[in-house]
Amino acid sequence: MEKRTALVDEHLLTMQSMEEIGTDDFFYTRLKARMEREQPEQGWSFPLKPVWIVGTLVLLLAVNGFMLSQQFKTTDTKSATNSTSPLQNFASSYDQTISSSY
Amino acid sequence: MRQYFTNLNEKELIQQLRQGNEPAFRWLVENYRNRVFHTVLNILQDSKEAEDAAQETFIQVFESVKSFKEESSISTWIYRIATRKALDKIRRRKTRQKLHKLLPWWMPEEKKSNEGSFHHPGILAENKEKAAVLFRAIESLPEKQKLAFTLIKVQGMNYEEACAIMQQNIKAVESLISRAKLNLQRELEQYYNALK
Repeated sequence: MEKRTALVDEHLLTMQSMEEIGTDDFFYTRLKARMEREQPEQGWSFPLKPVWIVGTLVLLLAVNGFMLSQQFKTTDTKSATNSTSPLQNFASSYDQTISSSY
Repeated sequence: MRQYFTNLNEKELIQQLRQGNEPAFRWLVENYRNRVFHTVLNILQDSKEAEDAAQETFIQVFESVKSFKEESSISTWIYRIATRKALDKIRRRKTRQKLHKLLPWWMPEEKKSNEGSFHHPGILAENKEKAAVLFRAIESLPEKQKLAFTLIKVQGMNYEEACAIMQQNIKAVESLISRAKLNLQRELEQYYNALK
């Protein structure tokens, strides 16, 4: 293994003298400022996470689908009860039905 | 005040943190900020992103100390959060780079960040070039190999500590290191052959 990775070992020698690099003394001040900035708002706001947005859209679509299916059902039953032909319906709406007054 | 927190044992410190004691949190940040920054800098190879990841680490510590189960030491827990934050940033960076390849006109600043090699500020001037070549090769490693190799070989952490941070057993970490070394050897050979 040692010979197979000789190039890596040679390069790793450069890391032996590596100093620990830290942040400057104002790190805590910047951190505190960021924490205050990112504090969640007290009031309610619409959740903008994609999961909530997609969930809301799916729910709306489901409600829409349900409403449409309900509407089709009612029109079907209506048309079943009104057994008059479309032509008669049309004529009656314009008061063109034949009626005798003898 | 600093002396007061230095004299506290870990349980007492955690208790103070859970109560939202700001001086205790400040002491924790001051005590760990350099080590956390150094760790995430080695993983991310970018000072700006490292500062961001270090800040996110301490924010996470502050927010989740109440749910800290004390199954490991607080330092291991902090390092674990820090390495996760760094790996998250690498994943996001890779996604951005993929997007940039697909849509080069979008996010032009991404091109700048991909160019050039990383010169670690803590490495002696005469070693900087060689170290930069190694850092470039480390960038190409798979996530787990990269993390294990960086913590143990670059940062000089002992195996026990690295295993605790990575939540892996020693055999798994040893295997990651040996695979990482073979991959790096291949990468370095390719790099020097291309220069010839």
